[in-house]
Amino acid sequence: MMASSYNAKEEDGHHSGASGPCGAAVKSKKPDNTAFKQQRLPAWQPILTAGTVLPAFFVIGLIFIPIGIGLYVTSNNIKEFEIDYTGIDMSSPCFNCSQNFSWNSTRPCKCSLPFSLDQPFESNVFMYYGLSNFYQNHRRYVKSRDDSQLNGDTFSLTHPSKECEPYRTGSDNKPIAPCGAIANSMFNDTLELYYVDPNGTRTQIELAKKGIAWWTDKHVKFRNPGSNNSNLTASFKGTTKPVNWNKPVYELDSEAENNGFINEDFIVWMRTAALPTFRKLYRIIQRKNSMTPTLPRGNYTLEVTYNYPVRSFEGRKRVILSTISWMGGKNPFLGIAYITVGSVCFFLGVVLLIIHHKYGNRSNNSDIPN
Amino acid sequence: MDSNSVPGHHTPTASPGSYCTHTFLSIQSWATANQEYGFIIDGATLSLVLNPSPDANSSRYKSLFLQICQNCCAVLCCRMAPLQKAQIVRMVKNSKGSPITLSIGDGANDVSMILEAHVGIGIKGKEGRQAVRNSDYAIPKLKHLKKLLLAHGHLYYVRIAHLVQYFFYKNLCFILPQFLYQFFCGYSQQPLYDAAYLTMYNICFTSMPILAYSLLEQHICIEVLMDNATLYREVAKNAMLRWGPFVYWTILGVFQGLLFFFGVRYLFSNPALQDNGQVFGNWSYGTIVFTVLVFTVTLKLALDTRHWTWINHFVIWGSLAFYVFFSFFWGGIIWPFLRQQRLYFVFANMLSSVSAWLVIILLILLSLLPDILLLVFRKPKSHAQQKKPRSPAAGGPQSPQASARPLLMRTFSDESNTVI
Repeated sequence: MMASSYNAKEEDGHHSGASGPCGAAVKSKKPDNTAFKQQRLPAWQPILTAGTVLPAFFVIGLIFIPIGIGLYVTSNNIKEFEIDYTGIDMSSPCFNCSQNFSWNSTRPCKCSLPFSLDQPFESNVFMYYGLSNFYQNHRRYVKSRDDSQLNGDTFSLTHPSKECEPYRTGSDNKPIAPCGAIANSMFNDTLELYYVDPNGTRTQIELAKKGIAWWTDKHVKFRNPGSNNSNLTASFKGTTKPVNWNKPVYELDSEAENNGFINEDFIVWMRTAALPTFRKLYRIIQRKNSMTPTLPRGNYTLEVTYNYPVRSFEGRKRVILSTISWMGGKNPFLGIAYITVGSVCFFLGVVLLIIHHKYGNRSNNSDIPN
Repeated sequence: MDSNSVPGHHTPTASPGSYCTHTFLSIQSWATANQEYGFIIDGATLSLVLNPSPDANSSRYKSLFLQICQNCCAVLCCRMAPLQKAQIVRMVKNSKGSPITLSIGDGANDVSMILEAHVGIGIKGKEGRQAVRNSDYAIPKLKHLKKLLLAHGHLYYVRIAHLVQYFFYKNLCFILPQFLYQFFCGYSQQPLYDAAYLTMYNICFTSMPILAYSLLEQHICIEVLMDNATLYREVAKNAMLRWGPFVYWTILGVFQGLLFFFGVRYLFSNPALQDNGQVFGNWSYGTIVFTVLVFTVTLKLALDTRHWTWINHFVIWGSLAFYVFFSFFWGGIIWPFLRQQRLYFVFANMLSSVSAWLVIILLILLSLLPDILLLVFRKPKSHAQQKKPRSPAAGGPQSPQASARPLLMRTFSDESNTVI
């Protein structure tokens, strides 16, 4: 009898507070009887019935297809015009400029490309320059910048980061501002647009250079050193211009608000592109009023000051004129993708509905399938 | 007992070999008659069977004995020395198919058997603590074996197997877009994602949900598991870590990685994604891919979770919220003392673009579509199991190999059969 009672105590493991042979209290190793430790937490088990899943497929299909159609129609309504002006062919106006390139030429090479627009462009027209086979996303290239120098830090201005090597110091060992390969390879072609009306008179189209860079880039990330924007020559004392630039950074623009590091063309260039074929915003053609199209139908001329060499790496240069909608630029991919996915979901919903009707009633009555 | 028992008691005059052969042949002929057999053998006989003797036939005795045992639904060995218990276990371990063995005992004489088997369970018995000290798991009573095996064992296996598969899968999804990007960046090893994202993906954004899953998940609740011992067969033979499930997870990871990368790639054929005409750069590209990635792998886990406690809700939605919060925070200020401000305002700017939102939603849904379909097509099985716990599994035609089931269930369901 005594043995069995001793057994019961031992087996159940009730040692809470029981004293061991030494007389000291032995702590119980039994886990707490809490819901967490005993895996009894209240839980919700999702029961997926046909009633919950099937409507979801139909709903998704019914939402996605109109969105896809909207995207596709919007993208189709965006007008885009592209001109390649690299000058590969002998017949191209810019052929001479692309061949006779040298760094030290003082007289810039100009070429002029005529084109015509079949359709008028309404609302704001955005002018992009596009480059191909230009790997702005190369690792060594992306690293080659100093954001604290570009933020206006005075110490970094004269002591650029090591990542900028070999574009860190210029002639006579002066630090380069802005340092790095990204800044050094800044796009410096000048593009001008002229409208040629039927009599032959050319009118220059006004190109706005404000608002092409991200607001936060222009006002927070990029700051000129020193406190005075108007006297940048003094702020940049002690530094030299990047190797492949014609003018130093404080002469990028006559306007103080667009000079130095906060020059918008410079900021746009410094935002490295994701793919080797990319476009960057160059200018904006503001619409005049809602009645007249911004770019009417007709003949135009593009005047290029061909400064930027791309033949050496088989790159291409082009100008793109595009309108913009709520979804951005012209890209039919998203519209087609949404329509496809919406249709697939709808179709799957129909298929599942058929399967459920044919076999669903049967499975409810059968035994458990093994 | 409705099975025949064949005693294996040794008589000095008969030779063990011929007796074994005769028994085995008898059982073979009777086995097709759909009967169950039990086998009783004592320690002395066993020593003749298992220990090698100068007799040329001795090696056959062991294999014959093994075959007899495999054809019986229950084998009772009594009066065995501790070493013989271990020998039996070793014999079964090395038999064809290499089954996983479990031995349970409460005394010091069970220790060698407990050590020999794959899983050794010790019972805190009246014979002291030796068995417990040498065991992998210790239980106070034999009846606890049922819950240990059917509930905890089953759940533990499912959780661990899912954890392992999920870890490989989420890292495959993570790295494949980065690998594919190399084809577009001149093979220069430019990372697609920002350094902060690379560092924090595995630890901060995707670790807590799977941790909660592997601690709390009950794909079938404990009560149902206890009532239906047959459910244990779902995880037999390492079912969730075989080639089939592994290939499925891998293909899913590859599919999603390809989808993330190329979905955003075709969106970026025109990188002017904002309504003010401004252009996105490479960090925005990487951030879009990363956002889709984090949401997809977390929502995949949400789809796999069948037992939602408050902890699961907290970690899953919390991880996603933490990702968004961190992205705003990381890109929210110009960090002093850092030479690079790569991600400044990138995340917020990405969210201001309708196209970016649309592509994120599309890619998340498309990535999860295979899983949702699988969930729907597999639905009838688990649904029926949840609904009808009291399955009449004991009846129906049984194959001889499956004859172990009724005995298993009888042992576990009848408390009075417990030893202690």
